[in-house]
Amino acid sequence: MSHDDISPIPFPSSYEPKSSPTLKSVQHLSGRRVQLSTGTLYGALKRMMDQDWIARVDDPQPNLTGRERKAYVLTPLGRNILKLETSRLQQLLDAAHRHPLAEQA
Amino acid sequence: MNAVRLAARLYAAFLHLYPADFRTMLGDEMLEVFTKTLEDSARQGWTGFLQVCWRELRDLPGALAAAHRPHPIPGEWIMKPNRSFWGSSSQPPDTFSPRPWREVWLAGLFFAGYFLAALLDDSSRSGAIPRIIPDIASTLFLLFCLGVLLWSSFHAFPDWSLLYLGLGFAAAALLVLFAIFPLPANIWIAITYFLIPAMLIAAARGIKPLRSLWMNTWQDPTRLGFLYLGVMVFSYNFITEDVPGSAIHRLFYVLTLLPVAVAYLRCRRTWQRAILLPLGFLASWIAQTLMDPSLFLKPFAYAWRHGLGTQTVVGLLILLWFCLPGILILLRRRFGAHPAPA
Repeated sequence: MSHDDISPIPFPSSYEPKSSPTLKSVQHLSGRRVQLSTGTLYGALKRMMDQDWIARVDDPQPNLTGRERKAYVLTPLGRNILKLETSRLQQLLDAAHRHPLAEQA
Repeated sequence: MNAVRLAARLYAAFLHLYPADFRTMLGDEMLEVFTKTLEDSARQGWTGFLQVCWRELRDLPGALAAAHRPHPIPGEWIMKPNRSFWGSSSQPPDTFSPRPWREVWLAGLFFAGYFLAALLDDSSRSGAIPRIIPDIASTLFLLFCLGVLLWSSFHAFPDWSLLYLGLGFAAAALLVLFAIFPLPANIWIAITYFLIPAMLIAAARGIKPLRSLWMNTWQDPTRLGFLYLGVMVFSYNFITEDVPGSAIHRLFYVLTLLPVAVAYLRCRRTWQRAILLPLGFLASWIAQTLMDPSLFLKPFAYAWRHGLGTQTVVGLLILLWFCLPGILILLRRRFGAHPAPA
C-alpha cells in the first residue's frame, strides 16, 4: 500500500505537536480515567502499524523545534475497522438500553 | 530540572530492552514524549512527577512482553490461513531476506553441539574418557535446546530454530511411542522418520504456541524440509547406532548438513530454498558413502534387514520427501488461486 492511499486523518483528531499530545488526548477523552504510560501507548501504536491499521507519516503541522516529527494516520483498513468496531459497540449499547432492566434504572 | 534529566536517562537505558526494530522506529519519539510528559508533570510538583515515573515502571514489564511477542504480519498474513491449500489466495514469497549471520551461528551451534555431545558419549563407551564428561555435555546441550525452544515459541519459530524443534519433537515422539509400544527404538524411528514433520504440523494446529509454525509452513513449505534436518540429525544417529564403525564415521553426516543449513539461511530466493534441501541430502548421502561404504549399506534398521533394494527405495522416498516443499511450491503456483488483479 502506498502512502497515496492513506488519507491524512490525524490520529487522534485533536493532535497537537506541541507536547505529549496522544497521552493527553487519551487522558482527556476518558475523563482522566485512563492514564497510559509511554510504553503501553507506543506498544499499541506499533501493533496497529504492524496490522496496517495506522501509518506513521511526517507531521503536516508546523514544527517549531526544527526536529522531524511524525503523525499517525488511519489507513483505509484502519478506518474500516474503526467503523466496524464503533458500530459493534453501538449495537451493544443499544441492546443494553433496550433491556427492561435498563429502562427501569 | 536534574530529576527530569536523570529520569529521562534511565528511560533511555530501559529502551534498550525493547526489540531492535521497535527501538529504531519509535525509541527517539518515546523518549521525547516521556521527557515532555515528565516536564509537564514536574511543573505540578513532585507528586505528578512521581506518578508519571511510577506509571512507566509499573507498565514496563507488560509493555516489554508485548513488544517481544510476535505480532501478526500485515495484510493477508494476519488472516486465518485457508484450510484448503489450493484455495488459498496467498502465494509463497518469491524472495527472502538472508537471515543475519548471528542466526546462522545459532543454527550452526545445533550441529556442533550435537556432534560434540554424541562424540563424547561414544568415547566414554569405549572407555577413553570418564562417563561424567558426556553426561555434562549432553545435559548442557539439552538445556540449550530447551531454552531455544522456549525462546522460539515467543517469536513464531524463526527459521534457524526449526532444527531444534525437529530434534525436540523427534525425541519426544520417540519417548511416547516407545513407552506405549516397546518396540526397539530404532524401529520406531525408522517408522516415524517420514511421519514426524507431519505429526508436528498436525500438533501445531492444536497447540497454541506452535500455531505460528503451522501458518508459516503453509506460507513457505520449505520450512518443513528445514525442520526435517533436525529430525534427521536425531533419528539417523539412533538408527545407525548398531552399524559397526567408528563414531566419527557415524556422526560425519551431522557435519555434512551444516553447509546445507548455512546456505538455506543465507539464500534469497524460494527456488534456492526448495532445491537446497534435496541437493543437500544427496550430497550428505554421497559424502557418507565415500567416508564409509558400510553406512551406505546399513543406514536404517529396516533397510539393514531387507538388503540393498529396500535401502534404495527408502533412500528414494527420503529424497522425494525432501523434494516435497519444492513440488508443493510449484504446484501451488501452477494451480493455486491467484489474487484478483488490482
